Formats: sequence, structure tokens, C-alpha cells
Amino acid sequence: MEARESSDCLATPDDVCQAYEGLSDLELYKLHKAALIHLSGSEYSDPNEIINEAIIRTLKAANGGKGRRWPKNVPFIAYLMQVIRGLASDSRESEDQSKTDWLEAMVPADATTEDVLGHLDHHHSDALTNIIEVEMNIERQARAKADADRIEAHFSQDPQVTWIILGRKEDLSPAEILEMGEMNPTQYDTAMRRFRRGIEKIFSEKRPS
Amino acid sequence: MNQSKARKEIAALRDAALEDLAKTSDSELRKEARECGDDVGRIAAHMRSAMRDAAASVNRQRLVVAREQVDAKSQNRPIPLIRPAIDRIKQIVQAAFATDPALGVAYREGKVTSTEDWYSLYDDLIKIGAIQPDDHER
Repeated sequence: MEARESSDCLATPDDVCQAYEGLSDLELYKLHKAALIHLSGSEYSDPNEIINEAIIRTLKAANGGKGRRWPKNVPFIAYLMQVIRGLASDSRESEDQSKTDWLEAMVPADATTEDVLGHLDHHHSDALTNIIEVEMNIERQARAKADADRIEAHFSQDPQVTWIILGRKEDLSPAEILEMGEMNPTQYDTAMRRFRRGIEKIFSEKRPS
Repeated sequence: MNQSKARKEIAALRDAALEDLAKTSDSELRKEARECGDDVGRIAAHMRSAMRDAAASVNRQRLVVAREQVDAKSQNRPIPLIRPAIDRIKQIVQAAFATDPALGVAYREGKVTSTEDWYSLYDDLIKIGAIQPDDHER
């Protein structure tokens, strides 16, 4: 009985197509903003690219392949927001993707990344792999630190948002942040909105080189 | 600062922003769009188009796989020299699609218009064993 309920709950390809065709303009705008929040540092260069990938993964799973399964008891937009978050996070943390990015910069004009990887693997792959992993880890950490610094600088003149940033970084609850920042619930909600809009703005700008 | 901590912190800030976005009402979103000068209709159209492109690419991949499977099944089965009448061929082909949806994918749901196309489709389905000519000749 449970298995039956579980399979009824999983979306078919038709369910997925109907769901995305049924999204309103404002829901699509919301997904666009969700993508802006998460794109930075990932392999995806714009919101359309990541939403394309989210639908491909969802349809592949709905067709019985590998991918991301949409449980129909979860609203489609909420599901897609979480897929966007997951895809960007996976991409940001992916060793393979980062290695490829890094190597692409090293590839001569008349060769491909694969040529370089093959050439390097042939000679001293273990040492190179370790070096790349260390380099990439340092780069990801530096990027996160730079993002955190940009956010703090952006809100340096807004004490309520600064309390939210400090609180969320320390995993405090909203009630604790309210108390520490001496805010009432309305002030907290409006500060959260300023924070979110600022994040969208910061992450949609080109990263300073 | 511990660098690994920086990655966790930035992830927590992204999550906080996403939580706020999820609970932002439609009217507030409209107001934000106006303030930012965002054209909601244009942005939505691009997102919708990206979704349709994604679906089309998945369908193209499925079509290729289905065709490969169908081709692999093809064993040069003999095609009868005398075919049934065209109306009967249409019934037989449509019945085959109804019983095996994968055939529909491989052969674009049997969307053919000319008599020659129906003959060709009928012959193909015999070749791959989806239609047994003996079954309907009797």
C-alpha cells in the first residue's frame, strides 16, 4: 500500500510539463530571483541556464532515469527552488567542474582540456590531482570569503541587516536575532527583505576581478 | 577567519535570502519589479522558453534512444508481398502504438499523412516484430 502511494506521488513527464506550463509570470520571476541568489561561483552563467538544467534533470527522473524526482505533494515552484539551490551548490563544490574550469585556462589554442588532462594523467596524475584539489579548495574558500566581505560591505550602514547577517552566520534563530538586534517582528521582516534584495543585487553583478 | 567556515556562512546567507523570497507575496514581488525596472513578462518568457528547450532536448534524446532500440530489434523479418487494405493497415498500426508506447516515441506517434507513409510504417513495424502479419491475415 505504501509503495503504491509512493509511486502515485512521483511525477510523470506529462505532470512535469503541465506543471511548468502552469507557472505564472510572477512565479517564473520568483525562480529567476532564486537563480540570481545561487548562481554566483557556480558553472551556470545566467538564470535561464540553471532552470534549463533543473527541468532536464526532473524530466530524466520522471522518465525513469537518473535525475531529480519531483514528489507531486510538494508545490512545483518550491521543488524547483530547492533544485536550483542544489544544482548551484553541487556545481560550486564539484571537484571535476572546477578542475575543468581551471584547466581550460591552461589549454593552448590548438588543444582541448581533455588533451591536457590526458597528457598530464599520462605523466604524473596523482601528484597533479592533489595539487589541483588543493588549489581549487583554496580558490573556493577565497571566493566564499570575498562574497561574505562584499555582503558585509554592502550592508555596513544598515545595523538591522547586519544583525541578521551575523545571526544567520552563527545559525541563530529569528527570535534570537530579534532580541539581539532589538527589533520587532515587522522591523525584522522588512530588514530581511532589504537583505534578500541586496543579496540578489550583489550576486547579479559581475564579480570584481 | 577559518576559510571553511566562510563557505558555510555564505551558504547560510543564500539560504536565508531564499527563505525570504519563498514567502514574498505576489503583490510585493510586483512592487519590487517596478522599483527595479524589471520587465516581469519578458523575464518570465525567457524562463518559460528555457524550460521548453529543456523538455525538447530530453525528448530528442529519448527519440534517439528509442530509435536505436527499435533498430536493434530489427532482424530483417520478411515483409509480406500482399498488404492488407489501407484502412486495415491504419487500424493495425494504431493498435501496435496503443500496446507499446515506446513505438509511438520512436515513430513520432505514427503521424503520417500519405498512403505510402502508412505502407512504410506498416513494413517497418513488421521488420521489428511489432506487427505479426499472420495475426491479421487470417
